[in-house]
Amino acid sequence: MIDSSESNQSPHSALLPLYMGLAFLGTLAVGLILGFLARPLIIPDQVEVVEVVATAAISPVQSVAQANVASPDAENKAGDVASVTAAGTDAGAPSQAGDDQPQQATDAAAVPTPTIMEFLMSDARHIQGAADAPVTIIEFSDFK
Amino acid sequence: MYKNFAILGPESNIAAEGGECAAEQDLFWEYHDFIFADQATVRSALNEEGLIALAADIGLDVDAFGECLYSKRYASTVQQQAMSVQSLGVRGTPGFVINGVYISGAQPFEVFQQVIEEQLVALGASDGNPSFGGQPIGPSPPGQ
Repeated sequence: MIDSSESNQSPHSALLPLYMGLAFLGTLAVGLILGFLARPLIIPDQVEVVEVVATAAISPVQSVAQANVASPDAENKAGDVASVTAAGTDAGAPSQAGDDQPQQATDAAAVPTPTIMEFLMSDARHIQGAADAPVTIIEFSDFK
Repeated sequence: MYKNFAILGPESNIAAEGGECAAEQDLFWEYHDFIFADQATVRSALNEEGLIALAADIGLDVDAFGECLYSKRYASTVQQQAMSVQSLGVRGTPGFVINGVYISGAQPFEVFQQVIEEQLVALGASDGNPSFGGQPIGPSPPGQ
């Protein structure tokens, strides 16, 4: 004996979960793309100087003397010595990061920004040696 | 210049706060040198009672040092310093910046010597007369 409820189902009914899954994935993909494209509307234009520094990871032995703290290049590119050093001499230098935020580069050019050394020495508490010494050594350490 | 980078737990923070308290008595560097001179012994004393017990050996006013340490008035300063250093991407101690050149870890003397001499050469390049302790530095001219 054949169940009438089963016999009335169309062949496509079995594929319904598959269609729903595909629809969900499609919706998710569209959402991700829209979210990616809408980043400029979500992320604030103004970036704090310290926030830029906060993302400037530096490698074990790396020249950051001329790194401009507010340079957009410092973000995600601190490992690239050449680009960081070049940015230090021109606060308004165009950059990859600044391409989609030209206003930020303009602001950086208008306001003098400190170098890494100036930033580190701005809140110095323990200093010894001649103030006009040609070499300054900054030690970050833990007494433990 | 020394910057606290207390990242190894509560004992690190207390030891760093002890340094700030020693600085109140203009004895920061004495504290610094004492703590680092014998880490094996000092490590077990990195708490309020232990540091106060060491204070007399450092030449500190023990009562004033103890009052300062227990007051925790430098706790936020120490935490802010650690965050400041971390914002540069520094993740371990010790770390050093010599005229903008970052050195990670406890490197041998020769590493520091090389960086310092390179910096002095760079600084002296403009007048063509680099010197270090009265002695010329950098590669010798051909024929010498």
